[in-house]
Amino acid sequence: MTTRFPRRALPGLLAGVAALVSGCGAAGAVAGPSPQQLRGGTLARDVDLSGAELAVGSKEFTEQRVLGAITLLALQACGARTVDRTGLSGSTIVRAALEQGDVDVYWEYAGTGWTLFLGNDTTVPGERALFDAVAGQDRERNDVAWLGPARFGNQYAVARRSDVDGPLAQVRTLSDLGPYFAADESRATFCGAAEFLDREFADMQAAYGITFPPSQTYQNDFALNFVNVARSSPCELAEVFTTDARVRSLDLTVLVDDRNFFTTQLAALTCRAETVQRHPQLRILAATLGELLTVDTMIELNGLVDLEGRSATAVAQLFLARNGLIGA
Amino acid sequence: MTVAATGPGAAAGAPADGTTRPARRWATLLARPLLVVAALTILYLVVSSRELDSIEARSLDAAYIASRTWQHIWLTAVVSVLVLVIAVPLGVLLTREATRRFAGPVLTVANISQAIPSIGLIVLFAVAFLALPVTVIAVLAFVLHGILPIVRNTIAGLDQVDRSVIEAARGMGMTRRGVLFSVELPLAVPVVLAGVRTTLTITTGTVALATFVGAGGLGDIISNGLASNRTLVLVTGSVLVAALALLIDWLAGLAEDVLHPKGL
Repeated sequence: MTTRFPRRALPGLLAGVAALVSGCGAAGAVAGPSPQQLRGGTLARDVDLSGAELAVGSKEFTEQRVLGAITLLALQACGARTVDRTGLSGSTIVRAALEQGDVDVYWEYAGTGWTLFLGNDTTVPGERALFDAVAGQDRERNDVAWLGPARFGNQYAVARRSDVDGPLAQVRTLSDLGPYFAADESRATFCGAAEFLDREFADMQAAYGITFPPSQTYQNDFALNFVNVARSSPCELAEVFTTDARVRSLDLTVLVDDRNFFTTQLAALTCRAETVQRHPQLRILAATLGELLTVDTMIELNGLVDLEGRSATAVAQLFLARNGLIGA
Repeated sequence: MTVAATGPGAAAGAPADGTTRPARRWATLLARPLLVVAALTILYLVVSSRELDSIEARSLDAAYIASRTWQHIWLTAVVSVLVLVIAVPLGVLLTREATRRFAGPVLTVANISQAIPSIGLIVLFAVAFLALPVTVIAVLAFVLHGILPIVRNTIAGLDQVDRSVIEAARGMGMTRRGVLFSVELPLAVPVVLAGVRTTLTITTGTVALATFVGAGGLGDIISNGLASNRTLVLVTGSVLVAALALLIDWLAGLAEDVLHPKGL
């Protein structure tokens, strides 16, 4: 297999692009909390990971960078030494790094695990049922443990600009796309990142009985979905995450998923089973963080990075301190 | 790949000085396209012999590949035409007596635009110019990037024209404009065309980066191969870009032969 090249050589390049795209929000220029602050909260008291050395990974988009930063600081608060490997481009690359041991922990979404890593093409209804199925299968087949899970999920959605004129203004639900297509197929254009287009797109179209012709489907970096749909070029509709703050800041309207196609994919801290065996306290840490990471919290944290330009580290520190996990 | 000329007389790809170029035989002429066709046939056979999963099938679908190839050719054509229209006159202007002193500064700026990685340039534009459509952004970035080799070769080509020939023409009573169009430009054509050829080939490859802003092209197939970790998709996209670049370089080579002034 020649898969080593894309895994090894390109993450850096692509992560660089992603950093540019996301406005360099996660640049590590901002100093994190002091050792006193880190040891001043409940994590230092309740979770003991001293002596552990763990590499933390994440994907390249804002939410993942924030989760990565939270995990880094939380592990440090528990006394572990950390290696920062956040910002890897794409699920496949960060997962490969986890399996090979270059990354020890990262937050993954149940749906991604179910379809991409476990190769399933059916869906499990219900967010908790899906999570349990993924955790069970992944443990059994790949020795990967899913800890947590968080109380927020990542949910795909389709959005358009809010201030459009004409027929598109009438499209409020995904079912409305049917009549919109029927009137004039050539005007329906769609922007998506590779992962969504590869995985959910075909099934979504089947579920709603619509077909975007290949020439009207545009593939771009995930962060540019928002920008490109906001300027209506090259597309009128785009893939978004419901927890992404740019849905609000760029004034996008999320189409109602009236046939319940998209399941919420709960996020969880994934790691190799041997890592949990060696450091069982990781379970407590993941459960503690997961309990506090709700949908609203995640939207807010993402917004602090994407809208207010704070660094992922600063946002992570704010989150941990606010909940008393570290000292203020 | 040919390299841009670095100074007068260093024009890459130009025919040997003063010798008459022999007419190419059909066999040499057809070697390149036959090679490309052979490569594409092998690729087709490999792809069609494999059982594709749904991710591979999306990127290797005939309609999908056709639409991306078309976008790629279209973008390359627009960028190339704009680069030609801007760069050749600019190069000529910078060798005229009155404006010659601007040559240094202009080349410095052009050098800087070339030093910025094109991937950075295009993504920067995409985020900075929110009001512009993505194809305009892509075209802008690639044009900025493609201008330098042609400006440089145009200047180099005009500079290497023998001063005594120009003075002789002037002495015969030709106007400045007449000297430019009847003497200088024809004598500079080989070097200018070498720059054009370089730019065309580079542009074909660089246009693959259009995918990062959503402007389409064959880069879509490559980036999807990377994102989904499907080697077959990655290889297909790369081979298609390479095939296109080889064909365009070949066409530019033909144009070079045709436009080459007789007797040089």
